[in-house]
Amino acid sequence: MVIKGDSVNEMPDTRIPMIFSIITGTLYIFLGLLQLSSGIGRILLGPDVQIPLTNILFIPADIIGAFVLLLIGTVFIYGVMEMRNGIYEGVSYAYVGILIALIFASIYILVSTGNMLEAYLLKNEDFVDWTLLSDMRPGIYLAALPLIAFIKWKDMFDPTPETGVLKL
Amino acid sequence: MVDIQETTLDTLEPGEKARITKVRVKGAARRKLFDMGMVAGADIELVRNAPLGDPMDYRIKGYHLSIRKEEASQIFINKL
Amino acid sequence: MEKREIKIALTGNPNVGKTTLFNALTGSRQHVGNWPGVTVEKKSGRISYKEYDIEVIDLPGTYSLTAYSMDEIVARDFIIEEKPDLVIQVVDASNLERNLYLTTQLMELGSQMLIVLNMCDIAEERGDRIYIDKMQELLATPVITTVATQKKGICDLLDKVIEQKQIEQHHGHEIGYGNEIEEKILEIEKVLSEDETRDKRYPLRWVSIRLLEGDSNVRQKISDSPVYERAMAIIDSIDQEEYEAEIADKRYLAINTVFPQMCTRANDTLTKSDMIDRVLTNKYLGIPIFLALMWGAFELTFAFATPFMDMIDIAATWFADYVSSSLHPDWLASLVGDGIIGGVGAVLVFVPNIFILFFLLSLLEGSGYLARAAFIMDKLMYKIGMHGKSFIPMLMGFGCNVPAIMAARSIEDDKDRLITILIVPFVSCGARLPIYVLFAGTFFGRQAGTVIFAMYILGILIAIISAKLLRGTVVKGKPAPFIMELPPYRVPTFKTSVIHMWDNGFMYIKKAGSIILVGVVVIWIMASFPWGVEYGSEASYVGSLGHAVEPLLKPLGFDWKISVALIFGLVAKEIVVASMGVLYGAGDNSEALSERLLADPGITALSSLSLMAFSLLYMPCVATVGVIKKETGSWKWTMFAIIYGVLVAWITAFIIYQGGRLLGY
Repeated sequence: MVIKGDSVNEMPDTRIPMIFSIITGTLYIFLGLLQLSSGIGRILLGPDVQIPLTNILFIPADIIGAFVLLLIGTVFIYGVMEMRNGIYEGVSYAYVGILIALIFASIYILVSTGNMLEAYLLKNEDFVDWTLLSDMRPGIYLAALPLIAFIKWKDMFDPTPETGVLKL
Repeated sequence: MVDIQETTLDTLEPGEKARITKVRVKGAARRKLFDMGMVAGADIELVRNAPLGDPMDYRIKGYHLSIRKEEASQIFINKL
Repeated sequence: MEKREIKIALTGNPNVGKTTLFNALTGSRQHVGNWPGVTVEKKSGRISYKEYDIEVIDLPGTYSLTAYSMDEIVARDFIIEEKPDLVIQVVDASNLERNLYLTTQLMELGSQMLIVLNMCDIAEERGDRIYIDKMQELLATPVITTVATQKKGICDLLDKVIEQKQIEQHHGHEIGYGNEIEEKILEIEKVLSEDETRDKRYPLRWVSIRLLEGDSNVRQKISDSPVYERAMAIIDSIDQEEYEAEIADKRYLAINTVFPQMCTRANDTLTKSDMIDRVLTNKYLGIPIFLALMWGAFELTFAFATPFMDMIDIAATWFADYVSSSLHPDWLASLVGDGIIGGVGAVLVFVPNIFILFFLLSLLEGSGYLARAAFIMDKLMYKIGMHGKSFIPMLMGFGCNVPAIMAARSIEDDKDRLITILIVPFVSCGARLPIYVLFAGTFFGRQAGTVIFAMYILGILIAIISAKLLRGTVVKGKPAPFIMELPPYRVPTFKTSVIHMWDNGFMYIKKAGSIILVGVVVIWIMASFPWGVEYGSEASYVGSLGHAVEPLLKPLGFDWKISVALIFGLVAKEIVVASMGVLYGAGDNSEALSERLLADPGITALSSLSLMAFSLLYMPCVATVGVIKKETGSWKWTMFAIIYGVLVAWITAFIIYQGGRLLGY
């Protein structure tokens, strides 16, 4: 696959999005697996058993959320595979991965805002113990990486070769 | 010269291009297809299949049009 | 000074930025309603500009003006019958060729036209060149460029509108269809012109062409003309399918002869949109991403809405208490407090869900992803006799059936839409969960989760079976063909989404509201009379009704108390739990209620299972009935939904209860 029918040599460099995708993808998959085991552990072993690391990394026992993390990670890694095979369109996966990561971070933050309203404005008794950190989760803080990439590469994902080269 | 063979639209592979020769779809779908630019002589390319294999995403007249295999099998083409 | 009036109609293909332009033109001074007699949305607005008062009517977005959908009929009837001073076609510059197809048809209607070229930025980015001067000359129509999202060019546009208004006469632009067809057109024109009583607003040539194309709507319009038989004789003498193809061919041919002179298109380069689609419709990732995004939309619609729902609940409760304690006489206080405010409050609680849902749907639609959702799910849906576009409404049904039924608007085909509306109520909404939690928790202990899950599956199964059944009987035929544009992805505009949210949210409150109000008043009367009895007790009318229907529900394992609770559940299904509390004298205390239910020999594990299935399937709540009426526009189908639901519920509960007894439970 070549852009604008030029020769393969002119294929834009995909090294930087590749490195970015490897790092971000691995992180999402790693934390996704942790969250998954935390969720499954909760069901099989009961709420008292703690999976190591889950506390410091703010990992909730949420299986659906774990699948979302794994999915985002997979999108990044899928792109790495294509880029390694010399397919320029592989950067699409980095781009969409960034977008999905940001979409889910926004969803979590909005839901958390709702909880904040419950706790502070409505003083709902189910939310007495709620603090700003209660809703902290990998889906939110991991999105910092995609966010930086999104701001930095805002115009870089244009598919035309002149601007398509990702620079740091 | 390439051998021009008449076949139907559903036999295209992703990335392949063709020219429409005849639309044999009946009923309301027929007019809708015309309206969307699926007329004899138009160039068409299969971009990809949906994840479950059907419907298909075609590029025609510079935009993306999606139709099911069922209708595609009643549209005749010459592969380019 | 008296302002001069100009009436303009906005038309164009879907996804060309027509709504954005309309919003930019009219701002908040819009009026949203339905076109008379149909459920197609009608939007109009007014602008004061210089010495003119301009009325803008936003016609439904269409690809063509054939009678393929209600939208197209509405659009062309408006142009012909209302004769707006100017028809503005919004044209997507990055998709010029197909957009011009509509232009050819608008020209045939003989209306004064103006073309607004939108999204020039996208076209330029892609490397297309459009020669505006050449375009104006070839189409004999003024062309204006705007970027509607930036309000740029709006003044230019308005100036041009006024300028065009002053040029009274304009020259028609006709497409030649070749000798054979032209002869037939002349023949039909001649026959039709003999009818002096004909509707002169319809151009003869246009009517003749439409007849040759086999347009049944136009055919019906002239069906009482004295020359109808003679015109039809000409139509019957031709091979109509051939003509239809030939006419479409000729239109595109006409476009193709002028098109290359006004636009040079860059080679098919890879666009950002193609890049996104490569991932979002990827063979392996497409479906998981779709499900994840749907889950996210769901989470937002229901989790983010919770505090707002709580606020409405608190406000309604406070207001009901306040009114009850300050109004006299007692019956009025009870009617307004318990009945109207309590009942309407129970339904108003869904308003935050509906607002958020419509906001998200508008974002999904504006971004172009809604079309992909249908594209991804179509094969699965087709297997159960439905269209890909039905998937999102059904999914939304798990949250609340009301916005789900409203979301079915995006389905163009009437039959597909009707089936979707009729089966959505079987999808187990959030309000039914408290019922399952109470009964499954009380009678099934550790298996409660499995039982609740089984209820959701039961709902889905019944929905699928119903879809198949309806397709085979009352709504015959196959799902409409899937012929859909996959528009390029775009960043949706916030303003458009907010306007969409307000419009639809208020439509819900206004239209469904009146039916809900009647529903809650009826229930209140039944629960409070004869006057003096305790609200909803055995001595009230609802109690008597409970006793009266008991024989009907006995085979399902229900006594009069459950019957009463089910009647209350018609307002909103979660009320079943609250009224069980009242009837068992346990109030809000759910543990006490569980104990008393267990102690009551009238309810067994089996009858509670039958009850859960019955409450899942029986008549939709009044809010849902309200939107079914509003969205189908028909009492017949609304009654059908109710009766069908009750029947299905009765049969299912009967099979569960009697089957269980046969098996020895």
